[in-house]
Formats: sequence, structure tokens, C-alpha cells
Amino acid sequence: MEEDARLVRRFVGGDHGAFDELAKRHYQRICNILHHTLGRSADIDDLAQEVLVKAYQALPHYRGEAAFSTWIFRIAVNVCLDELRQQKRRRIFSFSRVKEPEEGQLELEEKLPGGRRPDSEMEQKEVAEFLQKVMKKLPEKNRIVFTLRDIEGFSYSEIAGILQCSIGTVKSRLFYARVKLRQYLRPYLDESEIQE
Amino acid sequence: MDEELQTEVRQFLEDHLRGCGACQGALEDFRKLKAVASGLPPYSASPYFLTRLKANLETQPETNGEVAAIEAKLLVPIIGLLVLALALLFSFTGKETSEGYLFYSTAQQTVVEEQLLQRQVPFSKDEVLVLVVSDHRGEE
Repeated sequence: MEEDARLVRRFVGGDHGAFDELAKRHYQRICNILHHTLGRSADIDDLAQEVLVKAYQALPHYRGEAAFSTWIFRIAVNVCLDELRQQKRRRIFSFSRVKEPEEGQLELEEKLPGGRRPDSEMEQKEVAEFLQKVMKKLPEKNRIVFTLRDIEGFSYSEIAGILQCSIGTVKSRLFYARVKLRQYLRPYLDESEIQE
Repeated sequence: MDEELQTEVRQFLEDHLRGCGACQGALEDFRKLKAVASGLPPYSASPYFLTRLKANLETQPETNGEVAAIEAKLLVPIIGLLVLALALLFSFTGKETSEGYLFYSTAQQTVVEEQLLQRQVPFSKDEVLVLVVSDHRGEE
């Protein structure tokens, strides 16, 4: 498979078809990052298109200091953060008064499905959905790091490159996210036999 | 858990975990949490995603990679030169005199003014300027 760097050189040299290959290679992960960070409240297809269009426009100015994948995922994270800011603004100007739950406190409908304690009948799918729901309670920085590490499997140094922060910062944000999510999922984690 | 610890730290933690039930429990929970997270299904994009992207990119203004890259390379020195030119313009100030429009640096002006004050010479500013300029011409 042709390296990303070579495709970038082809694009910069005027072969615009090279970008199609780059997009094909990375769009699934871009969608995953957006989806797991923003949840169902956003149109992921539209946002992922926005990420790729921005990358297309900015690619001639890409200096190759970071890997292309790091660079494009950084654009995805920035689009995520913009969308979260816009969502906040929309909430402020919205007429409906939605009560924001306190951090660490779940709304009744967000308790584990059916209001019951999780048991062996509980489908892994339900838990996964529940995890996605409670992830929204995390501060955005922690949510992004958790998504990149525990869902998408990036290494600490890759995450540090994407977020342009230190590995120490990545570790502390990840630890906070895991501690919080452990609290939310504790009943399930205590009872279940998840295959690691 | 993330396979990113250095050997010594890992060894230290493993030793600790053998004798600490609370930490063992926490590690177990974190592992389960990670297992659930890594098992989350990937997003299912529209099957027309890439077709739509292609159409989207065709509506974008022409991006000439090579030209843009050259422009990007030239942009920094051009901005640098502009800043330098502005700095020079502001560090020098001018004055209309009988000899024409003379430029002198603010630093020179200060020195000459101080000398005049010390000597209490009642020269006008224009005369001082002429002195400064003629002094420079003398150097040349």
C-alpha cells in the first residue's frame, strides 16, 4: 500500500486523485472519533465531510511535521470541539429549559436499562449504549482522550500529537475519564463477566 | 493495562497489586471498562459518503498544490520583510528642512538633544538635523 506521505506528495504535485485514496483510508476513523465524542446529537456524515473538505483545502500547507494521520485526526478533533461549542451555544439560546445533571449524577432515564441492576441477561449491546450515554457526562477533553485511547486504540504519543499536549496530560485526562466512567458503570462492572 | 509503562514502574505496580485488593479491583474494573469501550461498534457512514465527498470537493475552489506550497514558502519571508520595513519606518523619523527631507533615527535625535541641553546651545531642531546629516556624510 502506498504510504500516506507519498500520496500527499502526489497531491501537492497536482494529482488531486491522491486525496481520494487518503480520504478512503481515513474517513472511517474520522467518523468514529466524531461519533463517539459527539454521540447521536450531531450529523456525523456532515461533520466528517467538513473535516475532509478542510483537510483538502489545507493540505497544500501541510508541512509534514507530524504524520498525515495525526494531522487529519487533529482537524477532526477541532471540528468536534467546534461542534460542542456550537451545541452549548444552541442550548443557551434555546427556549426549552433543560436541566443539566450534576457531574457524576445520572438522570433517572439514564440509569441502566429497565431500571434494574445489570445481570447476566443484560446484553453487551445495552451496556455499550449505556457507556455511550454516560460518556456525554465527561468533560469534553477527557471524553476525547478516552475515545482516542480506549475506543480507537491510539497510543499515548499519537494522542499527544493529535491534541498537541504532553503525554502526561494525556495520561491524567484518561485516568480521570476512566475513574468517572467506572463510577457510572460500577453496578455493571461488579456483576458482569466481560471478556477482556 | 495500556502496555505503555516502563519496565521498572510496571514491576513496582505488579508487586503492589499482589498485596492490595482495592487496587486489584480497580484494575479489574478498568480492564472491563476498556473491553466494553473497545467493543463499541464503529460508526456506519452512508454508503454514498465517498461519492458525496468527491462531489463536495469538485465544488471547492481549485487548489493548486504546487503553487500554494510555493506561496506558503514565500509568505514567511515576505511578511518578515514587511515587518522589517515597518520597523525601520517607525524607528526613523523625518523632518522637512532647508536641505530637503532629512531622516534621522530617534536614537540619534536623543543623543544630540542631550548634548545640546548640557551645552545649552540654542540650536533649532532643523539646525541639529543638518548637523547630524552632515556628520553622516562626513563618515561616508
